[in-house]
Amino acid sequence: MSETFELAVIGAGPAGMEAAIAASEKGVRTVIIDGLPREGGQYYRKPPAALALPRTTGVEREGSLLSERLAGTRAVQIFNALAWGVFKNEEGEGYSVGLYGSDAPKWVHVRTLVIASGAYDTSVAFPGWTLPGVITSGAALILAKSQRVAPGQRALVAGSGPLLLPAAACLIKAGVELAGVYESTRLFPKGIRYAPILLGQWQRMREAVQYLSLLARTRVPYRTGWSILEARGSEQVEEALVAKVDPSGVPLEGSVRTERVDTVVCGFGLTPNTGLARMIGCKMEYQPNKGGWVPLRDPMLETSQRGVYAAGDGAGIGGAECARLEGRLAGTAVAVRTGHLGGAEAVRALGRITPRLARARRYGEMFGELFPPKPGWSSLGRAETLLCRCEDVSLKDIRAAIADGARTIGEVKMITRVGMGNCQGRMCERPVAGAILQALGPQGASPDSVGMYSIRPPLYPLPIGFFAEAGPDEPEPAGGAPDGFLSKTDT
Amino acid sequence: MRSKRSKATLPDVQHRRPIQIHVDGRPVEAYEGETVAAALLAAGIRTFRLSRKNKEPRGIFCGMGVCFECLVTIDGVHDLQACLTGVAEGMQVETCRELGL
Amino acid sequence: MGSTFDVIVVGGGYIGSSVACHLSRAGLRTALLDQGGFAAGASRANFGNIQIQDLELNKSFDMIRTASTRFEKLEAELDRKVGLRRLGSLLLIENEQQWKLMETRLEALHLGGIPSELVAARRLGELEPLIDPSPLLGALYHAREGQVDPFLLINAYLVQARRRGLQEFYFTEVTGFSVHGGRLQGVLTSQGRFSTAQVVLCTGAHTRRLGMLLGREWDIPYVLGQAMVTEPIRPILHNHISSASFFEQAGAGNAETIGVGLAVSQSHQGQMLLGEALVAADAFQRQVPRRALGVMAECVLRHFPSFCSLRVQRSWSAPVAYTSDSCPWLGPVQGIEGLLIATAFRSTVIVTPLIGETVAQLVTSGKCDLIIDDFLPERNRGHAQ
Repeated sequence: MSETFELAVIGAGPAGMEAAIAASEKGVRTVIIDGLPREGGQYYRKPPAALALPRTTGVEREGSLLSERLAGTRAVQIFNALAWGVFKNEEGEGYSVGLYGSDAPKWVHVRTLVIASGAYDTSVAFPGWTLPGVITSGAALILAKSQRVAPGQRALVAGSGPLLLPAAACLIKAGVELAGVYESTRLFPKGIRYAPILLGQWQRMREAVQYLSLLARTRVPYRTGWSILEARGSEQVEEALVAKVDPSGVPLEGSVRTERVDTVVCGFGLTPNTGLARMIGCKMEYQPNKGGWVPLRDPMLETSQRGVYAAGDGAGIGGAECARLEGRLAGTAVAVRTGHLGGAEAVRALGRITPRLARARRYGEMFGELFPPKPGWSSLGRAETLLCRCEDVSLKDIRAAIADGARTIGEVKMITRVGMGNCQGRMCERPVAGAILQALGPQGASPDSVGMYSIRPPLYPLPIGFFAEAGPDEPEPAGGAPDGFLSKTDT
Repeated sequence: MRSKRSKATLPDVQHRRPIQIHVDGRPVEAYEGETVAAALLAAGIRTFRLSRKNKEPRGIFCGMGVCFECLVTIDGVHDLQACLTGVAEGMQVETCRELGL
Repeated sequence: MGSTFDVIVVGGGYIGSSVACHLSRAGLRTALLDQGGFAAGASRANFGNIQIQDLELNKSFDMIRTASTRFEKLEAELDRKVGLRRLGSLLLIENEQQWKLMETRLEALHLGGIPSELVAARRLGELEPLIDPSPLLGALYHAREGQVDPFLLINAYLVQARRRGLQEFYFTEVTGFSVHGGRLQGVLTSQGRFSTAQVVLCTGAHTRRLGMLLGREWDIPYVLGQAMVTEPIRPILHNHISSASFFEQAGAGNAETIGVGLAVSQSHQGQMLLGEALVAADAFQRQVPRRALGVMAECVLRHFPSFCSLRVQRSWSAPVAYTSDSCPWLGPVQGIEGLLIATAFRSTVIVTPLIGETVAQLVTSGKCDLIIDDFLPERNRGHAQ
């Protein structure tokens, strides 16, 4: 089973929904695909229908409105489907997207793509981060908000960035006792500089004030300039160590505190999910304030691959408002490219988006600058700390490879198997790159020289039986040329 | 088991119809619409698998399908992500099980 | 860059790393250039099998047999583990023609003193219980083949070479050769000029392009080979398993036939390495063709139905060089003094230690112990003239 569209939007979060709406409103034959059971992404993630909870917050209302608008278009929605691979058609324009999901077609063939793959929590490897009970801020939000389950009884929240506050708030509301929120960035006086930008964002300011007053009411300490040092326990988290850190995030001697907790929630900002963009060969650039490696894009958000657009946090962390506007811009750009929109109407449509996008980007960049990734995060690991959770590769193993002469993350991967496991390196890329930079920085290594993991299909580990079923018996897309493949069984 | 369940699950869910799944042969209460990961956590189960080389306990980490730490065997199918898979009546979940061929 | 070296090795794969190591051991001031990182080409995407894969055995046999003896001391010489282990191998036979072909091969192997036997399908279960024998007549079985970890081996050579002064220049593409009066004087690259009187090309599928820089048409085409890797599981295979059909194609005088053949191994880390699909291509690409995964999966499941739920973690695509007479190119290039080629081997892993040794002899003395008459570069052109 395969289907042909003009546009596939991969990811149905804020950026993807807007892109699909903008494109299909202009008449682009659009399919929107997501691995979750319904639209919304992680930001607008809804509790499952079966839990039928009342919606209250502004964000939830915003998400529902967007869902209704998407439902009003002719865009085809495919959920519970993992986009495991994107393949350039060998000749001519267009791409084939491989899907894995019980109700999904095996392939969709498209002329253009909008990759709106979102982001995940940035990994920081500290001793004990693999123990059950250590979870990301994203996991805490999902469990407490959309699954209505408390992840533990007494927790500590640590890391850096604006996600710590909502994570802490949802845990408190879920009845979890909080030992404290430890933010490694000292906001004062650096933050003052950004006051003018914040003043234009009343809604967000009000949310922040609500979170802080909830912490105050429940007597949960909010400490800035503190970091998680270690999680301890035999089978699961039993206690956590925190300490004061210097501005680069390096722990200071003599400031260690121990907290009895069963849960450590860590949030060190977000990393763009760029697997698909890398897989099709989009040129990438390193942008620390946007979360790391991001696809290079032109002003219309097209990547270096013709007809492939990238929007939202998956193309560089900018926040939900920025993601929505980028999605709208990418969807509009696709409408122009596919000939559904042109002339003065196109200029007007784009003109409505770009000034707002510029403002939203400034706001997003502020967080990137306020909470930059810190070199000190790479000093939290000890020799035996695992950096690669899938293949159990320790910092010591990585240092040995570097001592042998490995200079790039690709070389370290080949020698140590780091990043070769189930997660395709999504979890360990930053810690491993950090370890290489730490070791080789004095010799001139840079994020560019260290590089990134290359990604090849499948993006998720899938059963062999599935591939036998998905191909090669699929018909070629209409107008597509055979890709030069000769099978012995064909003769 | 049940007492833990009621502590961890928020009150607005508790009035909904419970279903039963089995985890390593033991009955565990779950709610329709929950993920396997949520049901296991609510039942106080935190170790979902053992790591590949060191055989150390691992559980839910990213919660959103990225890290592959929460892999369990469900109805005989190994390596399924507990954080993405919804519960169903009578589902058999096995933790810490290695693939046998 | 303006550097001067005694010898420059181009290509940092199996052969290039071994050659660079042996040249460094010989005390030569050596540089290694690669247009990618180390093991950037086909050496990145293979099973590491110590397996006799030569289509013809008459010409290659001495090389293979001599090369096989080098593995006993390999880890000691390199002073590190390279994942070396003994494994058997099975070439699965599906029809009468393949059976006859394997009978001929068996004779050749026995003449060379390599233990092997033809095994009927009903006995396959003893050797490899997971194979479904029903579509098979039997298999050609070698009890004494093996495997290395490709990256550990290449890395071990490079680590030892570095300790003896090797300098590596990665992401450095050769853009020209400086030749005066029939003598090589240097290499031009994307990173500047390197002065040297001796260059060894260990460049696999890239060799043809380098020939063009010298105004020569070298008969070293390539195909893109694909394979996939699964999640690791406990050791369950005792052999490499591949199809006799790989040899059938050659036997039919059709070395350019492309398609899919079974290739199944388990790595020392537990991953299943599954292949392989071969796709005709006239451009390098690392992207795996869309249909390759399905074709390989179908082929693997036909012989190993129990692998159905095993999860694929990633796939490869890499250009694999070959020659029309199936023999490698090894030796000096006529008319360009100082230029040597060592590439397009079939049983690359087996010959890796020996070729390093041989090239080092050629570079230092112009002679070598191995008889390379049948492998000389441009031999076809010589016959034609």
